[in-house]
Amino acid sequence: MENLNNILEEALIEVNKASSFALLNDIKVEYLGKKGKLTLLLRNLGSLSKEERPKAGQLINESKQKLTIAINNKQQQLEQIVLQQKLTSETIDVTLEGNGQDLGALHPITQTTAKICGMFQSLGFKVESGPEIEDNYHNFEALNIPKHHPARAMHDTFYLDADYLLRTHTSPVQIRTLKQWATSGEESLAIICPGKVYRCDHDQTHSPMFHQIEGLFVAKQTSFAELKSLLTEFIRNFFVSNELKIRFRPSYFPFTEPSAEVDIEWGKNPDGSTKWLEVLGCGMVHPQVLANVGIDTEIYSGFAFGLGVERFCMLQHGINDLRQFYDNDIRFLAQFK
Amino acid sequence: MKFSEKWLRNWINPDANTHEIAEALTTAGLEVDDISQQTAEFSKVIIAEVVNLEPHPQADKLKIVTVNAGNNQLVQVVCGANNVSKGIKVPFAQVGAKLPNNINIEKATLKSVDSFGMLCAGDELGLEEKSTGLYIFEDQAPVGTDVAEFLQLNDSIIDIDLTPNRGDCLGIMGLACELGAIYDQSSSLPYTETTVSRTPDDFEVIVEDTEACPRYTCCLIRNVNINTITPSWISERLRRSGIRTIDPIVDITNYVMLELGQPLHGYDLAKIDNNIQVRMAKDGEKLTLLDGSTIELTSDTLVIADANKALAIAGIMGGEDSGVTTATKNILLESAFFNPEAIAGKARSYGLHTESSHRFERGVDFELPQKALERATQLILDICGGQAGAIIDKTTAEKLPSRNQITLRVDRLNKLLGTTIESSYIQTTLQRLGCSVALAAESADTFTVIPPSWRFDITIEADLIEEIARLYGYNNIHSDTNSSRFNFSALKSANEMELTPHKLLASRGYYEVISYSFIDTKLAHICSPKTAKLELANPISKEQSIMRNSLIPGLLQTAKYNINRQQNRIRFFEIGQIFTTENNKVAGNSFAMLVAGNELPTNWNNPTKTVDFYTLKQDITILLQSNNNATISYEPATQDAMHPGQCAKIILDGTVVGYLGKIHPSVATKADISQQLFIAEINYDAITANNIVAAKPVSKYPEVKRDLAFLIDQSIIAQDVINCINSAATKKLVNCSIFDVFSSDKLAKGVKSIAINLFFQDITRTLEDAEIKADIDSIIDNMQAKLNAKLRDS
Repeated sequence: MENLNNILEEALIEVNKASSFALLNDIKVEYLGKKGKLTLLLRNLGSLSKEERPKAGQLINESKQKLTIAINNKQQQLEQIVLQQKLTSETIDVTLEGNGQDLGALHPITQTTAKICGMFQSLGFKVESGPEIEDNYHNFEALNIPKHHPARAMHDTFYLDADYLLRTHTSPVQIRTLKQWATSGEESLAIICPGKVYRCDHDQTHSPMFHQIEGLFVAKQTSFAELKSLLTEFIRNFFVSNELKIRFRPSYFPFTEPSAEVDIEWGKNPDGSTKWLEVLGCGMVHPQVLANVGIDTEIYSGFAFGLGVERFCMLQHGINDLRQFYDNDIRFLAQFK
Repeated sequence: MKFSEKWLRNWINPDANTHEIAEALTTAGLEVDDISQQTAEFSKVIIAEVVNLEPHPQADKLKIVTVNAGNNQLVQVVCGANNVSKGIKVPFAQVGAKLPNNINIEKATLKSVDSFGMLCAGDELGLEEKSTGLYIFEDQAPVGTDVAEFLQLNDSIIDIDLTPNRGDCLGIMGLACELGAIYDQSSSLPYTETTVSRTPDDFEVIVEDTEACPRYTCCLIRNVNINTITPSWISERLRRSGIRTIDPIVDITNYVMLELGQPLHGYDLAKIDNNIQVRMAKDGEKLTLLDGSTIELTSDTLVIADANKALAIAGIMGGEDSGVTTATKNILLESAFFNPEAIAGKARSYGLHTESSHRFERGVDFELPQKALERATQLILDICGGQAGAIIDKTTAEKLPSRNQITLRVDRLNKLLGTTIESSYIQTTLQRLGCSVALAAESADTFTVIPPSWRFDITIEADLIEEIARLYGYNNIHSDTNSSRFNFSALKSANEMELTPHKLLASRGYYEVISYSFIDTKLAHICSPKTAKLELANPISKEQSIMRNSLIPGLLQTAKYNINRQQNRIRFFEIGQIFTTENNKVAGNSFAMLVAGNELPTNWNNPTKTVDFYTLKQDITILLQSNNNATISYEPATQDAMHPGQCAKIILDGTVVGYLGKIHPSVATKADISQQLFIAEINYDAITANNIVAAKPVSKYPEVKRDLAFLIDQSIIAQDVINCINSAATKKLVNCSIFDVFSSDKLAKGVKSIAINLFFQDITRTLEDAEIKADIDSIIDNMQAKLNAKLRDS
């Protein structure tokens, strides 16, 4: 049986040395094949005595098993190597750019508008819109701005003819919506109206076309205090700052009474005092405006507010030149993906 | 309204510094826009009197001046000013003086004559923008006094951005009253009101239009000396309010206007024929104004006239001819109340805006004219001398504005503000504002309020509520945020506006642009020569004068802007209103796209292919599919701005909703664009209808694919081929698509090959070859019959 040990040892050395699937297969045939060395030993068991046979048979079978395991292990080892080589050969530069179309962007004004409207929509305000060409009635008269009212000088208006003009604010949407609501029988009205507005004014800080968002709430019970808390919350949420200082300052709009402008703290003046920046106009809807559309002001009251989208967008993104919004330079737009 | 803080403090002097006062005014609704510190930018400049004057022996333009610098200390100065004369009092910068712009005054020798200091013009002291000669003080100015001290240069100029409802604060007196209400302190008249001694000298005044002019007061002042110097306390206050000094009469009327808020006007009596008439202008009547312009009046304009001609536009601007000049001896001084409604809009209609019109159109206290007339007369007599005539007062009492009782309910106030303000606070606050307040008989919590004559903005209860709110302080009004029906803390992911199309296009590489709604006349004409243009009556420029009837011109402009900045890949879309000359002018919401240049971003692996018609068509199809489950089809079409061979109608369920195509080469050339651009414009409202999809079952049985290739005439379009196939096949044909189109030398001229994939399937069973063959035969026959198509040998 010394022969058996020699054969196994020799076989295991060969398996270990095998560097390809073909060589490994040859070894398998040489030792375990039909005419393999270990197979032949088994076949020759007959030449042994009856007593020796079981023991010898067992030894040979054990050797066959050992060799089979060794071959299988080697087989796996070789497979691993081949796989490794294949993987290595397939390596690519993962830092190269991807293919196909790249991402465009929504205009920053659209994004800011959507953000603001979304906030109010989540409170139950409904989005409304209106025509950008209005008549004197909707843009001025119904809003308590009669002809020749000095407040009209605050609105440098683009006219098409004696009747039609480019709306100077989104407030006419109030009138259009209020008229419908007055006869609807609904409990309250909460709308938010984004859109383009126009003023005949063009310099570094004024664009002849810009965007406003108007909000309106009318119900049996509402108050200036409620308006204040709504706008305070809105501004703090928009700028994600619970500490932001906000100031309500009495102002004048013909269609609200009392009226206010809302300032936020935006840095400090050289003398250390708070630098205030106006961001919003608001107030309780003027009784005359409600009366103009047939709403009983003894029962209903309301508040309205209006803001410039450009201003909010500029503050949000640190944009300092208004004109960039309308140049539509791809290098500018591509920053707002 | 810009004014000197010191002046205001003469009326009311609260225990507060400049910034605190500004803050208080702002918080009460009188927004302080700016505070500029006024300090003397010079030192060692005193008032000196010119006592002697001699010509310079070596220079014609120079004079050797001797001044009395106080205590009869005489100093020699060489001076080149042309208005230097004996007896005048001027600012004298002594040796060692520092002037603005780092000028130091030292002893100098000018052409061998010693000069110990310098006589100064206003601009050399920073008191005027540009001076024409030496600054001259009034005769009473004390020689030897420091100029900075005399002019009270240590002052602040406060600039308030007044809202149009607060005409009452366009004078120091009104501001003082307001500040008094804020600080609960009363203001006092800083001068002694004297009754001017008057002669019975009278003049005829006829007020024809008492509606427009319910009160006209005036008086004559004879023998005034107009060639005197306006005292510096007046000129300095005017300067700090941004008003130039002109002559003593104009300066005094301006001064009283700033002080009391009442605009006044002085006429040269010699230029007035017979009488004063306050009447509406005659149509076409001409008047040359103080600013030198000649205007043609309209009959709705109130004028001050004499027996023969218009002298001034009432409350707006005086005429040149009747104005005070250096030759004026006798004047008629006017102080009137003009109805705001008669003045409103008039100045603007003549392209004018004056201090006077600004006040009258907002409303001037109708009880003020006589008080202002007295004040101005007194100042004129003091400064220019002369004899004042009787006060002529033409008042039509019933035409004066009424100040009606307003009912103010305390509970209404607190309900509207969300406050619990006490009745007593309300009563005293309104009284501080000059209102007369009484408890209504029927209720302890209801007041009847009569606003003061100077407030034109308090007519209803809400106006009173605002007055209380702003003096109570907006920042003292709070609401319980927790009980609010509006609670942002519950803000979930915001239910955003409908931005699906925007986001879909952005994910396909498009940028949204926003362009102006007004477009260039020329470009509008290039893009749609046949459409009537909606023009602005008052555009900013010709480049922004037409209201767009399409989004295409704006996109072209934007594309050009970016192409000029080396962008080689353009993908834009825009959504916005477009306009028409018809009916209500708004044609609805439009949606447009533009592509140009490379189809894909330039990178190491993307194919470099430029966009074509089909690039844009695919994006439109996808957009329409995402937004709408209508049937989408395209048909050849023509559009003004598009290439006639590369233009299609976009059809949704049989309705044309828009067009796409290549920009017409001649349009591109005219618009100065050399790139090939592809554009589309669609009615946005038509594509946003989001119908619910009705689902169909998916077949479990195999799909059978067959290919067919035909030779057909070059001019036959794909849609016709598809239609022809569909009409010939049974429902088993579930889809067909063209996978190859070509023409070549090997084919006959005018013929193209078109290859089609056909997919057959049934929902209930596996199809048999015979059934499919039947359909295919029918398709081939139909193609032959309708389109003269020949099956290619496979």
